[in-house]
Amino acid sequence: MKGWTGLVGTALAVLFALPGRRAVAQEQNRTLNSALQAYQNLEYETAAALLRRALAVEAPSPDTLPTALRPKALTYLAASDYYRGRKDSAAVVFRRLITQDPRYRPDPLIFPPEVTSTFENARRAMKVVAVDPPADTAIRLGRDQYPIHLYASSFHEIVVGLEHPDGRFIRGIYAGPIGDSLLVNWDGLDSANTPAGDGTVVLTVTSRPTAGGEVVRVVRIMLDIRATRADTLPWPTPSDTLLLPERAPSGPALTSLSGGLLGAAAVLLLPSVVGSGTHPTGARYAVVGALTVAGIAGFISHRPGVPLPDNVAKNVARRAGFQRQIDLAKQDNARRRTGVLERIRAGAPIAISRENQ
Amino acid sequence: MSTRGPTVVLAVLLASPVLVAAQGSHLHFDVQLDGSTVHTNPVIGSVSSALSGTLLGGEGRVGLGPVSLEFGYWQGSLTSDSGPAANEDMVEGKALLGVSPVRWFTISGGPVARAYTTAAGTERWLSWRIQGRVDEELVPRTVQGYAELWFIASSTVNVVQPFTSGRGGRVGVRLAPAAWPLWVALGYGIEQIRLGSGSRIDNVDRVTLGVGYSRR
Repeated sequence: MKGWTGLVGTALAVLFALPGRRAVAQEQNRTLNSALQAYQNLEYETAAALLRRALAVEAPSPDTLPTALRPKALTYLAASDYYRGRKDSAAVVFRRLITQDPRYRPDPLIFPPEVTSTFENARRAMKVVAVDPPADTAIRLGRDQYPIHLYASSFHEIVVGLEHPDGRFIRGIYAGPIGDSLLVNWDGLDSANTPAGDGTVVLTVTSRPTAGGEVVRVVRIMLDIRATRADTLPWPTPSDTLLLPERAPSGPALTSLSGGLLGAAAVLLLPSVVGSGTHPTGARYAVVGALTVAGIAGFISHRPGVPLPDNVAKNVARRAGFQRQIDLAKQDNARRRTGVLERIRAGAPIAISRENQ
Repeated sequence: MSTRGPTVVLAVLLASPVLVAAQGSHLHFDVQLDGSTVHTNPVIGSVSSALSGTLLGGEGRVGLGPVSLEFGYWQGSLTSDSGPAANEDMVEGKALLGVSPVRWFTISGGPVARAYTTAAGTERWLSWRIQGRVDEELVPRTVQGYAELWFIASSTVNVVQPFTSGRGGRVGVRLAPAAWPLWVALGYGIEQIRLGSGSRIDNVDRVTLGVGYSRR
């Protein structure tokens, strides 16, 4: 009985807790709406307080402000701070915004130039790169590339490379400037041009203000790699009916001969079979002779062993076509023997920044 | 008169659209002008006569896919060679609707009309024929052979004896080189019709030589 009481109590707690959590989420959105309303009413103190409250919960939970709304909330928070006279605070908020989404820009139709220029100053000072590799994909070694999209907050120098989790170098992918965005590719091989193999490697993107300058930010993404080899294909099997007879068989010749002789016999037998007791015309022997001659002529034209040039030519073409199929299968198998399929799953990016970035 | 003959023709007509749709609708025709030496041998009771003569005419065939219409018309005079039979004029015509389920075989059916005219009057025969025909190439692309066998399903004759049975056949060759549109045909055919349970037997046999044209 005591167990039942506990179970019912837990169920009731869940029932009451769920609407409560939903209410908190709605409250967050209401908080954001209230903050925006306060901003429109030029109540910047209130707007900033409400926005900070809405942005307070960052860990994924029902209370969290949706990701899509966070840049908007941060922008309004920075603008509110700016109009409260806290320009440094506004710049810090903008830096936080740029770190989260280097591609974001405040809408100049909504925010006045002094706010957008504050944002631009912060953006130019920030050296941040967003790294966007495919979350889960497979590449064929030697044929495909693993694409990595990079989006920068402003022009700076980056180094893209791969290393083992313990820091040992695997391969450099790119070193040079990045403006707005950049696509770099990895062919799945290490610096010795051998497959990277199974396991975890770390994709690192290091940002520097200038070439050779000090490192201001490093983004690390774990890549889980699983390599498989493709099976080879069987060679095509020649069909028994692929080739035509190159010399005349005996069948057609005998068919012609028997057709002619049977026809002649039919002419001779028809009167007795159909019209017994009649006196058939002797002219029918002309037909008997014609059928016999035709049958013999057919036998001669079809006589066994005579070369059939049409069939010989067709067979030459068919043999060549079959050999082409075998050659293609050989080439494909050679590729498959050396070809390795790598499945790559990317983890979440981890960014390490300098304090003053 | 039995209804067997028209029934078979009706069955062929009903099957035709299905076969045309199934095998495609390629239009083809051939036509032949020919002359035949004809020998008839009517036997009435124990009295036998023999007549012979020449028939001129022609026959043709129009086909759409596997379905074809075969038609023919001949006429001529027969002269008495022996027996009490008088000289007579003979006219014959046919219209057979056929279906070829395979390239080398055609089954067809339809009416065949024949008239013998003497000074005493005209004897008219209307028979319903069911026929099978086999075509075979004897010499590649040059000579074809053919054989036909038929039976008379029913017949109407304006004589006192009722129809009993009838059957016939025709075998021949056609010299038709592939490069030529024309061909030459030589054939032999024979038909026997019995009336009045054998009290009257009519035999007609003929050798035909013709020239034809075909388009496929």
